[in-house]
Amino acid sequence: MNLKMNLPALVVVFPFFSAMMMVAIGIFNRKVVPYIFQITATITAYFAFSLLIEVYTNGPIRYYFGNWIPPVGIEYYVDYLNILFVTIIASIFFVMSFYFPLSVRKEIPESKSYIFYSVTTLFASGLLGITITGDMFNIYVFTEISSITAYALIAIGGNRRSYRSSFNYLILGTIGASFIVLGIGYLYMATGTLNLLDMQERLQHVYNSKITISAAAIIIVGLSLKMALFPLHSWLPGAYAHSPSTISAFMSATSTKVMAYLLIRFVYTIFTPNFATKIIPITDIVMYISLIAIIAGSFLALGQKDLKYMFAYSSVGQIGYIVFGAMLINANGLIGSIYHFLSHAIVKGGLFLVAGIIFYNFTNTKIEITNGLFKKMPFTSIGFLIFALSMIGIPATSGFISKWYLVMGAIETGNWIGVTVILLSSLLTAIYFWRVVDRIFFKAPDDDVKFNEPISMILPTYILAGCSIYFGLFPHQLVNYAQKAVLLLMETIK
Amino acid sequence: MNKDIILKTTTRIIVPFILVFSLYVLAHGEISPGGGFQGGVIFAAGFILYSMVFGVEELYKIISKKVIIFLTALGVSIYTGVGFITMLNGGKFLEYAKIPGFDMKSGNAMGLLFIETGVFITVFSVMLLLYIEVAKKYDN
Repeated sequence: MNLKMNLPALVVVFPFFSAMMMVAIGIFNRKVVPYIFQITATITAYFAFSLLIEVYTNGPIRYYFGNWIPPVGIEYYVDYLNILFVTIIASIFFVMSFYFPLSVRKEIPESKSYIFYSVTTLFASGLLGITITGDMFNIYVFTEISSITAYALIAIGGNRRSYRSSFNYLILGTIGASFIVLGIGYLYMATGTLNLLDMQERLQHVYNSKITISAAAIIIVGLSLKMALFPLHSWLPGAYAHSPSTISAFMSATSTKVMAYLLIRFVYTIFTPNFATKIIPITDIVMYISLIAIIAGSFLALGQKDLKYMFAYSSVGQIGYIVFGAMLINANGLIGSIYHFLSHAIVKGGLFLVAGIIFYNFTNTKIEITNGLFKKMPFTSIGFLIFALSMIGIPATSGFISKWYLVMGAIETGNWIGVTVILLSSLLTAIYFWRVVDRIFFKAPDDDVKFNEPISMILPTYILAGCSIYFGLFPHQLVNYAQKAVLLLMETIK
Repeated sequence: MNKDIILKTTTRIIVPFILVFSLYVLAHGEISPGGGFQGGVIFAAGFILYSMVFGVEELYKIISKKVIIFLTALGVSIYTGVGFITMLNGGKFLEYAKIPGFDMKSGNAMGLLFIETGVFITVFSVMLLLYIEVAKKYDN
């Protein structure tokens, strides 16, 4: 087998295949499924990293399925932008796979556990598929795969609230997905192709057509709903707060960000900035909405009584940063946006892992139980502190670098409202995280009970914390990578 | 309803024909309307008719729920398995011409049949599974 040539297909198909294997084997022997899961995550991460190296040495890859030449056939298009996203998703999946067994044993009924592992893997493969594909309809299909599995994963928690939030997400997610497919249908009507690069070229002749304009509007609304951009965020807090802790960690780290990636893909590669800034002001509108999202998310997080709800609302704000950077149509802003994708995936994933460890011991995540947590669970508390600092954007953490580039981009485009909002929101983030940090480190504990912090749960948390600090101290290489991606995206402006 | 002799006899006669017809739909998928999905639904319809007349317990004697769940996974595995075989043979994913023992022309015809068989099995078992889950509620 020519492994190198088939990497783009393998990185999606392998987890997909293995998810099916987990059901086929799990129905007879449940005990081996966690091991298959672990191996799958490892191999997927290996594929993703080999693909990363391959793309950065030999340039973008176009992989034709079944060797049918596009636009007739389906292609996977891997360039500097989406390989970063693929690697982030696969490596987060890998790191979190260590965390799964203990948490799953605690929260998922034993009879459902093998299905849970299988659906999680399917979810990951759906996300990888969205990012890697070069075909419009494939984007929709993978969106559906990842959303339908997400509905199931949220509901698998099994209490009344998780059913309710899953149903809520089901309705809104379906509306979002139908908007996306409707827009794709309009684009197909306007151009007669579904291939991304082909469409980019053909769209240039029909920029002023009403079909193209309405397609753009519809797709942007659909994506905003899927990525929970304020005010379309109402499904998100419930979905994150009531799902199993592993799922809230994995989903918060990846799923909404993938939709933000699609927004970048649509605005830069398919519609190109020429259309999105000059024909109709998509970028301006979405940029102001994202600024409102940043402020609103931070304010909403301020009043929460539950850790998971607080993190979820803060996610609503953080999505705003990613969208804001992308909508500036400025190199530094876009680098900031890509960097923030990574930074936020690491940090928010890590925070939900921390919440998962707290849930493991207390079976709830209310903020008032964290009084004096440092004495009871020192490792968890320190992990929380590192992530909190990174969320605020203290230097030497990854959050600082992304905010630095975002602010630079905003200054370069003369967007002073944006600068003010980012700084104000950092302050708000500091307030709502310090509320918890204060309780954890400086309040006296209510009792002297010691809690255990299993090594398999602490280790992934600390790997993510380490990554956050590493990318805060040595951002050079990643910024270079992001710069390469940005240059490729910006080519369409000329 | 369970004691109706006309219903029982008709079902006994008609079910084999339904099953055979579904295989015909599957085999003719690539040159005429039909294919794995439609064939799978018809195949499941045969089983569903049988269990509607004779009860779900009778259905379990033919095929157990474990096996049905196994089949859902097996069908998709066949589909992706064909893709893996073509990859192992030096081609790209689902490049039918690279299936061992086939050339460009026969490979494309047979490869399609292989993956349609996978679709057939998965659709059949999922349909049956959905029916069983619903029927369980009304059975007692």
